[in-house]
Amino acid sequence: MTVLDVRDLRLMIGSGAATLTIIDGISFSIERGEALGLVGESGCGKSMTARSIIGLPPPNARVAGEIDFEGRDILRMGSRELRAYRASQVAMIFQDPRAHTNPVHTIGDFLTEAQCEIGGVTRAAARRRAIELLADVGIPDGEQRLALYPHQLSGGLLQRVMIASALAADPALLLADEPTTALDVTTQAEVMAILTRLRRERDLALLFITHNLELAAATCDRTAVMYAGGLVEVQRSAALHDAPLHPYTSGLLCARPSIDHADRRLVVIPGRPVSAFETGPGCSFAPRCAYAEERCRSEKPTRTAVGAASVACHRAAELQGSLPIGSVEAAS
Amino acid sequence: MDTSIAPTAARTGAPLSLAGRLFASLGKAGLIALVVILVVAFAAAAAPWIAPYDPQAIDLGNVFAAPSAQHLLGTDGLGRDLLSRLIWGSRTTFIGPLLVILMSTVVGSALGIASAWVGGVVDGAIARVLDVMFALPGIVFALVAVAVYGAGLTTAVIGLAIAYTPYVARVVRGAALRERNLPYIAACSVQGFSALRICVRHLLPNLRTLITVQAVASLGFAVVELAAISFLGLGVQPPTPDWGVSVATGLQASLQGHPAEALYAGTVIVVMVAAFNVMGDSLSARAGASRR
Amino acid sequence: MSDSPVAEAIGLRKVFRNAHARSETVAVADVSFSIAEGESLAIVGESGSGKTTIARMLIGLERATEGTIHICGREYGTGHIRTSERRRRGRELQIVFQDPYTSLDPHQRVGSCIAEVVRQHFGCDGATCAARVAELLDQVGLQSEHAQVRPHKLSGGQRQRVAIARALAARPRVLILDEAVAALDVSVQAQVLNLLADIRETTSISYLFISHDLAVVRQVSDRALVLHRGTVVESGPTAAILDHPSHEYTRKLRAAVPSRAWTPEQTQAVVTAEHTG
Repeated sequence: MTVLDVRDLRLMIGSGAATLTIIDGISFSIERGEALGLVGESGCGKSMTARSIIGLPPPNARVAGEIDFEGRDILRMGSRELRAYRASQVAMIFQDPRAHTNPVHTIGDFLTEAQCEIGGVTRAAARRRAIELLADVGIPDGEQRLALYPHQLSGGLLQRVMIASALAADPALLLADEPTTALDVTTQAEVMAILTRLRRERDLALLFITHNLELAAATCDRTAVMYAGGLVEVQRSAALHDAPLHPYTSGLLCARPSIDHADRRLVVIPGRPVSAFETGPGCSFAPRCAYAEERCRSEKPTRTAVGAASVACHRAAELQGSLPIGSVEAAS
Repeated sequence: MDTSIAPTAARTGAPLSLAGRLFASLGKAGLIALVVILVVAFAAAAAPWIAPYDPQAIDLGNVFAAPSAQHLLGTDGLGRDLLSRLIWGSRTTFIGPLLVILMSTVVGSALGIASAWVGGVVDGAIARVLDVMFALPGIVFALVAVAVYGAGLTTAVIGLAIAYTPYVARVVRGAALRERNLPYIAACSVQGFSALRICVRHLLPNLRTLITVQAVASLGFAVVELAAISFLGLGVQPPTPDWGVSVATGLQASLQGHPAEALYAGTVIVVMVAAFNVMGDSLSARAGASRR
Repeated sequence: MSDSPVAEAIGLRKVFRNAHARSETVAVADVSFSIAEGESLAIVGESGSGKTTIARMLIGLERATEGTIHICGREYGTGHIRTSERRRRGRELQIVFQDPYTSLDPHQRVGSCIAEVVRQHFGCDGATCAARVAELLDQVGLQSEHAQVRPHKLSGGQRQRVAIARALAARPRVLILDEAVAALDVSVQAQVLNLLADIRETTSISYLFISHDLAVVRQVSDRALVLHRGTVVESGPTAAILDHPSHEYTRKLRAAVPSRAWTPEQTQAVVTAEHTG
């Protein structure tokens, strides 16, 4: 069952002559219980995508297209409906939990406030639920923790509290914007384990935004790669990692050093990642692409199906199966 | 190889040049305020040429005259042309506060930066001294100075400048403390640059925006306070035309049924203060938006 | 040049005293290492491991509680460092910081920033200075036009290149890279890693590379130290440590790195021990 269906989403900032396109028409969907990884570098528009889905684009942004959540279009919802939607249907966790918690409120306040305000639950009942939620995210002595302040918890613990709070209202969709980027790798593993387990238990749909392709490949069912405001490839994660269909995905995989061996030099993508408004006609990746042809520079490719995947590349069919994923000496 | 220089739009904002900031990004309100200030500044500078009469010219046959073709704003109790007195009065209204702000900004900034840089016990001691100075409002300081050294614009200006210094120092010190801990300052230390060089060549330029905004906003306060001191008879002495003095003499005239002088002088004071405040607000709003 | 190490630290220890809580935090406890000429040593650790504190002690931004530091055969005392001594040290040891957005003076043009360092250490005139700046910009893969811009017009990767150029301007023997690529996009990170490898190949500079990223460490270093809560739990050739970790912490670290076949495992509820200071 499809929980989220995004169709031709566009986001522009500013107006008139100073309009900057950030998202340039993306489409994807997420099923119940599925995790979709959204991978991209700076300026590709992945955070803006999440903000559009949760109905909180920046004030001077114009959003076009359709975002269907369980059949209703979010972009056409009234503010009341939107608030209800955000309160109980969708939740979001962010990279920096400290920026999203009030330092003068205890964890207990943080977890019970929404329940009491919106759910009309008594404080005692809310506290009990909060302790249950903390246990769910692997914090056993919740009773004591409720009295603590955010600064008394480590980044990993606080992120778990954020997850607990996000799942309190039992949403159908969870948006996670780089939730583990600021955490140590061991903490990241713990938090990912919790997310995976909770997702399976509650049949939760997850949009997992990250710049780390390996993390997405390991924890998400499908991965979508975003570049300059567009999706260049969407595939099952394992397949994407073994046989990428788009030169950019291949470039990302090659650019990443391996933990198993050192290369004399890494294979780099020349230039730097750009945003949608910095691209010209034709494929947005063409200026940096080793496989670009004339056609690529003048004609913008649309995302088309290649087997079970979809890719936006004119040469996808001929490049299929031949794009590298590591250096020449690549071996496990 | 990464060779392109990113377009400014894609990157976070940054400190523009002083002129660039002032003229390009004040916003409507700020621009109007700037125009007002410039008009008054022009009046102050061109007073000898644009004032229709000598502000001191007494004409006892024409006291408290209503506005007419010869005297656009009428005359005061001694027959002096009100418009000319207003125009000439703008001079002290400008010079006085400007001097106050100039002195307090220079001394306060130096104190704030030095205190933040040295840190430790010295910083603590300076902070305590500033705290004590805060306890006395500006006017009280100026009154004390006047009581000791006699009335006059100079004394009032110096007294007020001393009173304003801790405000500048506090704001600058806070910002300097934040900047000082950033890696780029550490990078300078690593090179072995002298403390003076780092403070002047690296710290100060990054605080310039803040200091400027603070100074412009404070000009408004200085206008009011100096006018008040002159109103009390402790600043500019009559018969020198000054808006604060005009309010005082105009007050007595008001009681006799001739409110014109006090009203005009009071109005222009309010307009000037508002203009400086609005300028300060729009500068700080723009500066805040464009920091890094 | 000689067989003696170009950088050596013996028994480094740093204790932070918390005045309010009247407690002590031992950030670094008895860390020793040495770097030979042209070698690249990595210090690997997570947050709280003390790796950044070690960098700060070496560069003189932090005073070591105990221990000695020798760079280029000279002892670096830990007391108050005079400006002239700092200048001397700048010729031997330089650092590139993690955050490209705060490690450059936002008000200073790139060319002026680098020229300032060149003049500080070599006192040369305008023309020679400008030539050296152009040479450095070229060495880090930037164009001469970049000399005229302020940092805000540059991307993160470009800013890090400027930071590297500034560090190299002093012709140091040892360069500390404190998580210098951690804040960069993957594709840009690869470019900078290649650049660092190029620089090491063409000069005989040594690196002290501080990082939490094991893959990057493998790519960029010959030997590594693994740091956990201030102590060295393992040290040796990078490949050996990563392929056959002998300490439990190293194994745990290695196992937590996401890869194609990885699944996150729920570790024990370490929650009870997790309070920040």
